[in-house]
Amino acid sequence: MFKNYLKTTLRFLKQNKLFAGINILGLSLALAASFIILLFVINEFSYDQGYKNRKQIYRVLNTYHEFKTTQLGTPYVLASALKSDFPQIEHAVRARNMRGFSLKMKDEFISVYRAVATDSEIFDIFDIPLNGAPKGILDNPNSIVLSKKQAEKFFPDQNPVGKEIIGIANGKEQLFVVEGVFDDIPVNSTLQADCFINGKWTLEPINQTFGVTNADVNWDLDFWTTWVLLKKGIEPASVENQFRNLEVKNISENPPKSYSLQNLTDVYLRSNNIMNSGMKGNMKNIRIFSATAFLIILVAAFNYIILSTAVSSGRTKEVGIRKTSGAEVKAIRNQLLGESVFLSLAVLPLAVALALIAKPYAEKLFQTKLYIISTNIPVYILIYLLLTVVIGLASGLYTSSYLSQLNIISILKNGSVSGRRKSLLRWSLIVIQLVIFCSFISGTLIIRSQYKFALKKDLGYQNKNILLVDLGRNFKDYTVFINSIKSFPNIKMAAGTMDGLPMMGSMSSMIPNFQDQSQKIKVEGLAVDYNFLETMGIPVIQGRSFSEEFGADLENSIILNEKAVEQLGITDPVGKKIGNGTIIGIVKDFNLHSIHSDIPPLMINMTDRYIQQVAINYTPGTLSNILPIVEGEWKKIAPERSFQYQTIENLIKDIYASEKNLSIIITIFAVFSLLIAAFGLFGLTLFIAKTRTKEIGVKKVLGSSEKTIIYSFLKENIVIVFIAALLAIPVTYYFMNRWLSNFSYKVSINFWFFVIAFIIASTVVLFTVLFHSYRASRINPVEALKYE
Amino acid sequence: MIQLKKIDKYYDAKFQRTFILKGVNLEVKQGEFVTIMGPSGAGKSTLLNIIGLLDEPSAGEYYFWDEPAHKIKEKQKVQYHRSHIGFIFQAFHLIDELNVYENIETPLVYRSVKGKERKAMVADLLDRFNMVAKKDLFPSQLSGGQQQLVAIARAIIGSPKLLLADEPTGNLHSEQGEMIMKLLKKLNEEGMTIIQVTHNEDFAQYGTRVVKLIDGLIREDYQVENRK
Repeated sequence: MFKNYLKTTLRFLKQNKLFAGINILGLSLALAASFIILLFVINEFSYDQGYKNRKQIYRVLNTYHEFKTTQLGTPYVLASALKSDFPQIEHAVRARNMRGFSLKMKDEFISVYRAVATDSEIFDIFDIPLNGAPKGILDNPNSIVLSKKQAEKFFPDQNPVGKEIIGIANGKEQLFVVEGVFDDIPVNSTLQADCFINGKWTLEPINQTFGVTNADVNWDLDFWTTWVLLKKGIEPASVENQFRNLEVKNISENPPKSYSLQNLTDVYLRSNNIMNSGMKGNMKNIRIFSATAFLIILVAAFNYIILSTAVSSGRTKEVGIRKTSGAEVKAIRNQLLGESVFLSLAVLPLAVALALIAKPYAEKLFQTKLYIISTNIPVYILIYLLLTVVIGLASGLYTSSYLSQLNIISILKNGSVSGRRKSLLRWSLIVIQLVIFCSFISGTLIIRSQYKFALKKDLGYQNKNILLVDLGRNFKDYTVFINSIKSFPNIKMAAGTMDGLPMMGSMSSMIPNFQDQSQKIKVEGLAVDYNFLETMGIPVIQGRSFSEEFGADLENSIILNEKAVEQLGITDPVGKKIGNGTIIGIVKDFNLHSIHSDIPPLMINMTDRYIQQVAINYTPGTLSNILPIVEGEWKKIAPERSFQYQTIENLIKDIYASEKNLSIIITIFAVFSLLIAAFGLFGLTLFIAKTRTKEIGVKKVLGSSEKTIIYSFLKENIVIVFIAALLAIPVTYYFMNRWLSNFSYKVSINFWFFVIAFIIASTVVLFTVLFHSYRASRINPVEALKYE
Repeated sequence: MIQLKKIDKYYDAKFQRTFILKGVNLEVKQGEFVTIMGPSGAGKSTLLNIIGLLDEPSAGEYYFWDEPAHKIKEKQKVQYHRSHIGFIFQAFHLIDELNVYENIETPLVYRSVKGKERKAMVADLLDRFNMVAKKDLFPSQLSGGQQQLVAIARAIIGSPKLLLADEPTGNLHSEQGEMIMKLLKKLNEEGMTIIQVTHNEDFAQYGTRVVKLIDGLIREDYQVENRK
């Protein structure tokens, strides 16, 4: 029976090459697009799923009550305290990445970026395959465990276990002994390491920075990530409750922070509210991309339904004969369903090939590497197959149930049935396809206009002609550098700052309201050098700016923005004191961060210790002129550091890069959806033109001109596009309003966006339809009427 | 074998009921070759469709092998189509995508006959109809008469008890039509019950009995005397 079906299917497709071609093209494009998106989505969801104990592994989070922020820094001592005080905890380790760690190969030191300083138990918590006994493997302070890749790099063609290697830790040469080699950690793990060393190595730099000697027992230095493995069946809530006692016992009577647990499986995708949480995924992107994939698939499936109902007139006879030969409704349905599943499965290899070809371009577009992760391969295969079969079923479902229910007598009498219901369904599917396209187009236009708006918006300071030079940490001679470049003609002004504008991170403190001391206001901070406000063109509207004429500015002077004055409830602010600082001036409000967020209350201080950027205000059009000068001066003053700079225009562009990418991605999918829908429409008009030859012939005999016949075809289609464009308005409005709500400053949704979508869609549709309607209008009426 | 009692078939339009068949009583015995004749629109095809279980009467009783066919379910109808009834049509209705061999094979597929057995049955029939050389051709490559031959072969491959033919010669020129009628007669002589609808007085002479239908009523019912 199967063979019989297969033969009919193949021969039917062979005879209806257009139908087959359009469906194969549309399906393979849609499948390829969704395969790429699914590759991304599956990878995102697969993070940390490879660890056997993942359900019992937790990361300790640390919430500061005053700032209402949660982060993952915890004290060094926490892991030991947890192990001794909590019987529910099987294992606990602290971990911190080493800065500037390198290992010696021949005569050269090579940086090892992901050197994790931790304890032996890390191998008990994470089941990373290890060559060597995990127990106590890192207990010796000079132990080192290398990843396979690093081991092959530093010890080519030999067994490194037991060998010695010289490394640089904390700026000094040290001797390490390789105790083991672990399998390279897959990319879909949030714990990443090139090597593991003993945790004690991280104590010294922290002690130094903070001028203490007790970082190993200090409960205030939150610089380590703590991982724990709970015993089987332990509820995290029960452990978290006991954390309260731990905090009171070790931190203070009234602890300013509290610890909580986050399961490993939540680490990658559910860390949005956690600051500095390192590697994390973006659930919003996953949703947007999955939705686009779904829509593309929908458009392709609709194509199948539209075309197969259109060509079904050729199948009805077969169905009728099969029925009189004793086929049940079920058998016919299964045959037709099998046919559409077969078609989509036949397209599968083509789609996979297309996806592989398009992968590098997609990587650029998504701005992420799209890995084919070996442990995920069964999942890819399963999901791709499943998707393909589901598409086949979904697109075949309507046609099969429709055709299998047809009345045999009418089929065998008339040969074909073209019911009203059928064409209504076809047109509504086309409308939905066009709604998807129009929404995509007007959506992209809105994203683009918001992007342009973000680039152009007056931020309250100069957003052009500013060059930002990155000093890096501890650049002691920045004043020498600033003074040396200031004297050049095209450089108007230059000043140091801790963060350039727009600022990426944030620092904040809680300051009591002046009217009501009990009410504390979160005020953000910005640390700058002399002349920074002038360089950026931020106007001081009351009092004065920082000035070298007043010696105390560096220590005790502060400047607020208008928002801070208002929220803190200060009247006559100049001269008032906040803590040790005196308010010397008020600046006009400016956008501290990107326009995603509102202007916060802001306190500007001076600093000479943390200056990491130099902002240079130059005469417009002279960038190429001043760049070599600035670089030349840099080479003189800091020859050992690399010269890194960025213009403020580029910095702003970078900030909104994700918006730009999103608009590109959606544009591409819009083109896809229109292309696929146009294929469908092209096929459909061909069939309609064919079935209407008799009508056209009669009309021509009665004196209708070719023009009116073409017009009648076009009119029908324009109405459809118009309906689709109208329906797209509320849909787009709803989703784009949600998207725009991420911004504090946003464009309004312009009516023109919808008009443009309508114009594009109608142009494409008209051109698609024009071809066949022109051909249909040219038929010889004698031929057309002989046809019956 | 077939017994129709007061069969009505009508369509309800807005204000009036249009009768296609009215009070038709007909009994067909096994081994008969009945020709239904009548002008266009007399209800011949409708009657044939009701007999073939493709259509349902609006009123009346229909016994097919003493089973009340007006009451049986869809599933059982499918069973009858598989094993008891074969159809041939004026427009041949072959499946365009299948070749001669595969077209003939189709009913066996639905009867889950094993592949080997199927092959033997089809080969046997092809031989009998002198069509072995044409077994790989598609319907569009055959003449009308040949197509109808294939259609008959397909209709009888499951050795049905009853063969229904709706103007089997309507699309053929007279020579081919005669060939088809001779074949039907031969099948009848071998024991198959046949009911055909035709306009052609000459071709009615190949049967054993003629039923004349006018405006949904049986006006004449007689045995053929000088059977061709």
